[in-house]
Amino acid sequence: MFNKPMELSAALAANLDAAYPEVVRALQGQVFSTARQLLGNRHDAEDAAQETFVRVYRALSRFSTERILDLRIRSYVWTTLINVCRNQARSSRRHPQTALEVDHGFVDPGSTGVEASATWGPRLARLPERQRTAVVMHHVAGLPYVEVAEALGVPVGTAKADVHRALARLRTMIETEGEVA
Amino acid sequence: MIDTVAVALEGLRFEAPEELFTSVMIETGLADGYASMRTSIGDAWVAFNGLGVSALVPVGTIDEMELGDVTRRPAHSRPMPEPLADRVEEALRSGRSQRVPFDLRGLSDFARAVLAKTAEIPPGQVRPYGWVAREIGHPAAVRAVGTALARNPVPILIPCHRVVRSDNTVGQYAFGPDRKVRLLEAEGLDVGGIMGRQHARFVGSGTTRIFCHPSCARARRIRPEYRHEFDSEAEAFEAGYRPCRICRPI
Repeated sequence: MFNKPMELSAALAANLDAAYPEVVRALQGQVFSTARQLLGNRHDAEDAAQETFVRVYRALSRFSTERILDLRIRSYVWTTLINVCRNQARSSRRHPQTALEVDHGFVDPGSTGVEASATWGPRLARLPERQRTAVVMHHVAGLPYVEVAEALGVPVGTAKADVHRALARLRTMIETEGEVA
Repeated sequence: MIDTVAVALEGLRFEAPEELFTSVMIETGLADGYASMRTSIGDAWVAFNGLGVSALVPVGTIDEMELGDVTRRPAHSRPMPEPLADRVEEALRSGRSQRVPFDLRGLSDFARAVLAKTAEIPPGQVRPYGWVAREIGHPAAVRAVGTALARNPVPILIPCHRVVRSDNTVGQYAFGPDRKVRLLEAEGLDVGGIMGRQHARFVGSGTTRIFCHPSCARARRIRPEYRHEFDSEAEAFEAGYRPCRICRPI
């Protein structure tokens, strides 16, 4: 369902309440996984993903039909998510007791999730914010560069460069860890 | 060369928890949550979403699974968020629901006006259907008021049980007249002493020369020796009384 962005916007414009659940279903995995890596723990990620989808719905319900038809809904969701994650990261820095609740034990049946999250979380956390966001959106969520660039509000070339720099840094981190071990 | 870092990052993509979808649907009002709460006539299912309370159904009058039919949205059993639960419990205790947010989407403007006016009737007091009609600016729409109240999605919280017939009888109730009487008695209304055709429609005070609905708080303070009963407003006017500005009997 909704393979083309146009179909999605048209469905939302025709009947927001009927089409919105499909938007959530289509994007929730990517949105949650991104928030999970940007915020470092599952609980905050669930909150951020929920807030993102609720905010987008409330915005859409205020928009005119024309505006929804013109809207790139996916990129609107991603921009909202980045803002929500930024705000949440800021408020958890202000309230350090919640920041301590970082769960490194992430259980996901059928995958090596526990180990993966535990080792990658701290590495991603050491990247500059925009590089981290870009690499998570491109490689974790699997978004094309165009969508990453749109959500970050930068040219496509810049998004690509951010992703590559982030990968290079992560590789260096792994090599250094290898030497230590 | 395969980029092992990129491959590892791909492995960090997880399914969203199923709870996320349900929470988003409830918070946006595309679905309802429901929880069981205690009322003065027994337990009830209270349905809610991000906009407020959307339905109240006494347990036993409907199957839990049919709640979605009432609100025409999917319904999921879950605890009510604490801030909302506090307001609802306070409203069920006090009989005043002004602080409870309601989700009354799908109702006509007229029905919403009827319910908003009904919510102003204080606990332990009753007003006729005609009073509600007059107060919302549709004095002739007495029957339409009755219909709107019969379809009240949040009974008890929006006290449609406080609206009665102008001949002083209790009238109909969605869950039966017995429950209507029980609710009114639980709020402290002397149903036997005030309601019924044998009792006067209006009560006046000989000292102030003001006449009220019999259940108006002012009317209940009138000492027996100054208490006068009237069967019509004409009778009260003839005796030189003016209507109360608080309960606005006419």
